[in-house]
Amino acid sequence: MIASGSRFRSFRFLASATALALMLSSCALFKPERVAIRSSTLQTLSPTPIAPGSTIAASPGATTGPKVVFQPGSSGSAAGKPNYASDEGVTSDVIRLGTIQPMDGPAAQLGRPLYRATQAYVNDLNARGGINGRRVELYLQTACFTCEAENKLAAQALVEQKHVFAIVNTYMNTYAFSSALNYLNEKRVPLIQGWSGVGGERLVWGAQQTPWNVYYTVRNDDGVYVFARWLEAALTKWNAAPSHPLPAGCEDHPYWVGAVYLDSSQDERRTDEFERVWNSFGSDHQVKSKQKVAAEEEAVTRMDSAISAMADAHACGAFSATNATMVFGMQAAKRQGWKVPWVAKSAWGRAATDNCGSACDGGFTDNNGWGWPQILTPQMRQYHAVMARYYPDSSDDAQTLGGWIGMMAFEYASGRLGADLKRRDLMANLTGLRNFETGIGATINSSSADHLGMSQTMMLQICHNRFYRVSNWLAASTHPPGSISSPCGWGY
Amino acid sequence: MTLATIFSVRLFAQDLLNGLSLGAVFALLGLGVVLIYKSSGVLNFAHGSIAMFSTYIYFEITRSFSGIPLPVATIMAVAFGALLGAGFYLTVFRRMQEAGLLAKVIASLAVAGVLQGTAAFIWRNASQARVPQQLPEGSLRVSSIGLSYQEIGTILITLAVGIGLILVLRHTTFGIALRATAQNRMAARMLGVRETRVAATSWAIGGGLAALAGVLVIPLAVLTVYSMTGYMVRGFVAAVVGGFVSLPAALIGGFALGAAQESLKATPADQLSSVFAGLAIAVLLLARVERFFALDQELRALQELG
Repeated sequence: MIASGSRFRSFRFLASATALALMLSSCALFKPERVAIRSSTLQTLSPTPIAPGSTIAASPGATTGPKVVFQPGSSGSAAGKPNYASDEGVTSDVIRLGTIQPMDGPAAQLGRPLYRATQAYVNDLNARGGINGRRVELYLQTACFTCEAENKLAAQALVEQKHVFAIVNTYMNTYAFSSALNYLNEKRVPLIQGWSGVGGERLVWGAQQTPWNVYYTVRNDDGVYVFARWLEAALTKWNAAPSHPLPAGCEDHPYWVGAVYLDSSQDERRTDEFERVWNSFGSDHQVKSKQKVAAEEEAVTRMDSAISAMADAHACGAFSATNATMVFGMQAAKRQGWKVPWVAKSAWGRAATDNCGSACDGGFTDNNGWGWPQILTPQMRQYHAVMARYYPDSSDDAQTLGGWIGMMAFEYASGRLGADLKRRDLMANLTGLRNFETGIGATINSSSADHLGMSQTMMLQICHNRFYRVSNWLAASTHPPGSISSPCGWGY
Repeated sequence: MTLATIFSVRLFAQDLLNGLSLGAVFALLGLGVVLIYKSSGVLNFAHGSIAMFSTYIYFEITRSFSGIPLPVATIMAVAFGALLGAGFYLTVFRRMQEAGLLAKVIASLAVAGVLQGTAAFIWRNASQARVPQQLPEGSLRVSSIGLSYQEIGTILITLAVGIGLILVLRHTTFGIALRATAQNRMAARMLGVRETRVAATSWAIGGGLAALAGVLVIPLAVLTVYSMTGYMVRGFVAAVVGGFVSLPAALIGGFALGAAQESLKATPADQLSSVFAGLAIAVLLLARVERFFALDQELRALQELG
């Protein structure tokens, strides 16, 4: 026989090489795609400033008190030019901002639109004269979506080499951004955004946990009420439908549902919160099956096992805590002939319309509290005009609107500070927004304990590879409408 | 707590079936890895990238030539995978015959990087492409258990291809030459075996198998430059089952891995499912499973390669 020890060493080497290859392939680095900016056609927009307190349609749930209506260009830029530097990243002429995006690979689908919205806003802001006479410079760092070390390195590069004043519009709420987030909190560098890929929780994103970060989106504890009420309404409609399309047995227990979520603490908390809310609707409302899906591409794209388990538990509807579990869950459900109403958090984006086909027809999701492109407020018109000018081939989705809101908040909060722009004062402004109307999304009411600030969202439906808005603003206490306007109806 | 509350036979059976379809993909990939390793001593870490790139070719063919029959597009993609495999052997790995295993591994990683980078560049605007499936949508259901036609087709095609390949290697001149090369390169060369031709053919078959795996599984998932990474890890496990030398063991190993991994999800030990492949590699390495499949000469030959 051959000396097996040597052979064994060879195999150990192979195993180590396999592990190395996995690490390398998961964080492969490529040159970012250059995004064309038609700077030669820069023109100053002519925004129509809206004075604070002016009357526009209020979002439901807005607290009492004066409304602050903000439109880009309506404040700050007219003030005199400062002649001194205020804080790190701020000179008499320039405010340096940074952003960290995945610009390559599959995650570029998320990073590219968010970057484009941010860059377009900055271009327009500079064309309008900047903030209090200071021009804004935006520095982009590309980082792999799932690479924690790379995200932290990107944050370090922006802070220590580019000396940015603040960072805007990243995917900070993903697990891979946690080290970068800790670093920015440690360095006391503000991180401002309206988008981060997944929803957050009021308790997590407050002053204690992330003192230097604001993240404007609908709060988890409000959002799950909206989802739960919507799923309940859909189940009632399905159950009352003449052909009764729900699986056998659902006529006896129409409010038994399943929940599916990615293996992350945030998704799990959201699912637990959904279960608590669902159970509070009555003893006949039960979450019969909670399915955790490993956060790996292979597991997410093949969710047959999770779907089998929910069907086996006699669930009659499904809640998805995140977009991917809805997109691939509905595909697996179609393969297995399990047809039930689906409601998901944060599935508004190309991931659903490009990948799901007819399997997702009828699925419901929300817009994260960030408005709808066809609701043409003055601010939304301005958003459309600027995006069309700088990126005429881009489409509107959750990423672009969310990024726009982040930049609006930054311009407003820093514009109010005048010449003396300090990070601490900026954060005080950003966490003290009261009845703040962007015209792009829901009213923002932020505080030191609540860095999310939104309590309303809108429901959308996927139908024939596009999204339809099927509700107005909904809050935790608002009931869904009796009928919806979409070619897919209630989805059965 | 009753047994029924923690274990469902229906769920177990459904997951087992799901696992067999997944295992078919692992098996196809594992067969290619073994074939390439036997013929040229290269542990091909670019195998998954060849599958990914060929699947993008399938996507591009179906997108650019609407109306083209999908079986034709599939055959074209598999042929492209074969060309890719043979091409990489002839341009890169043939020149590294005398190089050590580490150098070959690094070269295969470089090839994988080139393929991923090229795909990311060419298809940057189709970063998550949806690929049409070859078989009709819908599923075959018996009672409350079912499997989609695409998954059933994947299992049957894998069995046909795998068994066919094993028979070819047993009963043809090429198969004899391949086994001779794997056992003793020098002796095979002296007996007139054209090593380059044997290896290039093996790489072509391996590339074709990788492409076949990609075009069969991706229509049920989504195509990105990283799509095949997870499948490839399991493909390596299938290859390890046969000690990197046995094709039948790789075929069975792939199916067994898929079935075991998925059916675990229906048991109280469902948490083990996602780490099962890693555990399997560790156990197989510790058990030195290759002893059961390889001839002493093959072991010696492979050791010399390393």
